[in-house]
Amino acid sequence: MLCLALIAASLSMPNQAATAQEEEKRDTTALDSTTAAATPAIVEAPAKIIDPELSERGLILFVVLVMLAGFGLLVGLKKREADQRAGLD
Amino acid sequence: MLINVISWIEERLPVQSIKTFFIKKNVPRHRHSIWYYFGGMTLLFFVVQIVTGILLTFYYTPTPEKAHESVMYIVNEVPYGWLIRSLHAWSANLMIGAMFIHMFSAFLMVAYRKPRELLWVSGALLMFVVLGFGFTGYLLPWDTMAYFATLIGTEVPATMPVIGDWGVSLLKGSEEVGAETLTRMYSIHTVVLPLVSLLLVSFHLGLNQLYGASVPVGTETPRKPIPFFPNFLYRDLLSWTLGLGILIALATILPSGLGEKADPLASAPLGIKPEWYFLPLYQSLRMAPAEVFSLSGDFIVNLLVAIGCSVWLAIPFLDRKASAGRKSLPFMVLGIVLILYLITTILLAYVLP
Repeated sequence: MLCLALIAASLSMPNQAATAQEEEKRDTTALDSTTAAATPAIVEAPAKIIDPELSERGLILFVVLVMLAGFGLLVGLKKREADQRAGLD
Repeated sequence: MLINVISWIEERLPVQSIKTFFIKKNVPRHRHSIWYYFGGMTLLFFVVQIVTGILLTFYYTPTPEKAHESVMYIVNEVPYGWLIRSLHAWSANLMIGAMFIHMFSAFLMVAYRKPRELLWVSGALLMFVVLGFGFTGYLLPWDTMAYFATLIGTEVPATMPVIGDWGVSLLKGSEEVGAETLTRMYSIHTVVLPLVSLLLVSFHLGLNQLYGASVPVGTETPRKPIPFFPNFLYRDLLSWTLGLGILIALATILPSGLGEKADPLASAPLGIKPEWYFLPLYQSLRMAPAEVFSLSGDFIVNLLVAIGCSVWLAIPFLDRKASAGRKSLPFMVLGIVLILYLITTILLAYVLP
């Protein structure tokens, strides 16, 4: 579920190459102000990497580790049950 | 409704035989059992590579003008883009690490002996494919370090007679490292190698399922083996949970950086080093004398690496004692010396200026 949410969030941005092409197209049809106004603004990437906030990274790490710990616990319990059924020491 | 769907599928597909094929495997239990987990761990990181790699291709543009900007865009603008790129980079390193542990443990446990020869060969081929992934993926961010490291890396085959120039032009696609090289690296990284690796992984896993895990030579197995499904699978899931925890911790605490955009006209910066898994080759080339018996040192190193790789691939057919279920001392020594050499050269490459 977390993976799917992450994928969905990541894919919600317009593709940079696509927006650049749109800009080129918009330049050629600059006279049509209605079309130009309707086209979304181009997102310019800054020249340097902006490090994600420590709090954002910490929160992601915390949430994922808690989920993994919960999943691990669940699997551990299922493993114990399955081992008892199979007669494994 | 669901029962009808299941019976419709069962009438048309050999579901029961497929299920039996996957369930029948048992995993032996002994004091070296821990090494069995590294194959599954390699597979886990390979899956992470596929998922994150596909996501990155949605935004990445493989041209010298746009490549660096598109990576910058992924990291700064795409929601969690920095995390996906970081997961991709770290899982690549962890995958290669887990793969080396899996491969050397299989070697030292003589797991390549009859009837698992093809399991070894497919695994060794996968190692070359994985290293190919590392080499072709390194240039893609198009930053200074990636550019100049690839410039040096693509010149490595040049010392080889006959095929040297052909090898260099095959890697570069032109005289210089430029747009052609980037396109070539990108298509190999995202199309050719994934297809080859999927075929090899399927073959490797199919054979593993057929023959099961190998018991190391001379190891007693007094304990009852573990049924793979569901008992060992639960153990695998626990190890994957741990692996994912380590991966997410590395990706969030140490997110992947990006250098300045590559400038082909600039002079190469000091201290260019490849990724850690290419350091043994890098360090060997650095340590090699300029000339030995009128042959260039680089040529000798490349020749030895080519011979070494061929021998490594053919190990099951060279180790005659293995098929008789015995350990061969020369091969054990070879394996240990190789492990020590790889570790030493990696450390030397980091320590020496």
